[in-house]
Amino acid sequence: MKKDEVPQDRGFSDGVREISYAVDENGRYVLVQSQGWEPKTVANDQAWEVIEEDLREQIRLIKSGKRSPLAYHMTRNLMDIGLLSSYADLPRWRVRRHLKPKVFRRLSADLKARYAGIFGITVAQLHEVPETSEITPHE
Amino acid sequence: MNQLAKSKIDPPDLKQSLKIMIVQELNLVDVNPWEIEDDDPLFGDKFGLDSIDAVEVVFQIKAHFGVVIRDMKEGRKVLQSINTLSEFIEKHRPA
Amino acid sequence: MNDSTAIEIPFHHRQSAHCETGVLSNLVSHHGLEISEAMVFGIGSGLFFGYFPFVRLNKLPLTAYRIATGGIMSRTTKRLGIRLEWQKFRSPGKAMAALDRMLEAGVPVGCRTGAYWLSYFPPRYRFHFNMHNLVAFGKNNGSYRISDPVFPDPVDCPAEDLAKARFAKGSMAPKGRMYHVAHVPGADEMDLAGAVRKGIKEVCRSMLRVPGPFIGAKGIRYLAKKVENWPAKLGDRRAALHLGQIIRMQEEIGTGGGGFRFIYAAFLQEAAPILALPVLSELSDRMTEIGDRWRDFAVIGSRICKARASESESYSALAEILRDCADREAALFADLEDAVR
Repeated sequence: MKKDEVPQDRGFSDGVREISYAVDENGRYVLVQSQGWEPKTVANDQAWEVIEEDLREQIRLIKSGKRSPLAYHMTRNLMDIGLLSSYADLPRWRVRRHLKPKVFRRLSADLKARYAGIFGITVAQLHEVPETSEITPHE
Repeated sequence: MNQLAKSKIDPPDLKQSLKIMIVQELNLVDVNPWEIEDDDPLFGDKFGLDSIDAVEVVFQIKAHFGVVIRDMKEGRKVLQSINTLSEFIEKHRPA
Repeated sequence: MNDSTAIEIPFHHRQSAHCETGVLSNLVSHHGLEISEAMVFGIGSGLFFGYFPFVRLNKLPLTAYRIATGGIMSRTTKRLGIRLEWQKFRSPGKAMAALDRMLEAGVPVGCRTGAYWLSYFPPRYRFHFNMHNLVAFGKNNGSYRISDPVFPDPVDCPAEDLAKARFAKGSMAPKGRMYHVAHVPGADEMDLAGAVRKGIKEVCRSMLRVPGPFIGAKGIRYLAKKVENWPAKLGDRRAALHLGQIIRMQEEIGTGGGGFRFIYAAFLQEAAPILALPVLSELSDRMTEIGDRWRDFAVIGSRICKARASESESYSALAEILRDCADREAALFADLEDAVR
């Protein structure tokens, strides 16, 4: 890649420029900043679309009473049951139970606080689930 | 999250997965997974693994394969080598 | 310790392409040994290829363009006679206290972290990825001064976020690992040419001669066969997801495949005078072309992902590019191995 070929396309780093290695007029390697590269952005967009779809599905299940709000927050934080159980220091089977609405409602204040702490939200927010139109998975 | 595929893996692939898992999760920065022979003693001088590493391996086996090693007595036998470990997993995997 | 005491060690932040190599280059330079990121990458045998269908990352197969995290640092320091002192901790409290003590003593500290909890990361980069490295070189009012090599300038990170990042859970959990430079060799103590040679030989071995189908040039060909069959085997949608994952592993922060080929080419340019082997400059040019070929893969691959139309023929075109890369890399590493024999 030549110096003048280093892409300055639409990126996804909020303007933070990354370093690329490229060759100058004498064929010697130099470091050049890049704002973004379309193929890279497309691949990242795709990954976030998958997450967004998953979030919509979780919200749908929660609103139809099949899952607890924990499912939304877990997915919002890109976690699966295994990862969340590591963070919560609980066995997987217990985390799985907490995804059921009835069980979640009866959770102790301690456990709710633990989950809220992991996600960096308040216990009140732990009960909240946004409308599908308001999802911003990467904020 | 990094996971080993839950579906059926052929024994040679299972062994390679275990080698990658051990190198990654135990932070064996000096060892390439392909340098671990199937019958190398895991807890000898070659890799310098200790009992704390054993606990970690037991945890990872449960996390990735759903297979439980009940105690360190069982662990000592199962964790001898990649061969013994993969045999154990094959035998005890939930269907 | 008085929390309002600000510490800032005069640390020269230099932006780099990759975290592990950037951190080592900057830390070692701070201690008086100037060594570029490219040299760290080359001496540390960072270049690699492996496709592991049965190891999952984000539920998709793992494609690796570099050796496992920590491997570059370990090899480079061993080969150059640099000594790093490592520590890991059971609790965030102990880990952060130990960090503070080092900073108070004027020693900049490298930390292994997960990326997800680093609040200064651009949001679309925040995944559960535990192979990140950064340098802490100051503290001010409950916030740490961080030299994160992939960023243009130093950043600030609240203590709480850094602690969470240092103790991120999941695969390859960092466990509070931190390291600092304990010894840097003098120019006469160091066998730079020997280190460069060893670095090159190991890369040639792993790209040419590891048994099994998944690693090295063979691994690239194995992936080519898989890619060709994805539309038929997985359907267009899942094929696009698999393809997207490859591109992300190749180009996104921390893993850069096409980018790693360019860094290696830069290394070969620096190595040429060190080994007095002008042929390494030619091999560098060939490596640059190979990097460009990997980028072609990303360009066409991303167009397929975006269109998501039935473009079955194009997966064949992608497979051809991969085979081309495999052939060129096999030839290059064979010639490289000959050159340093």
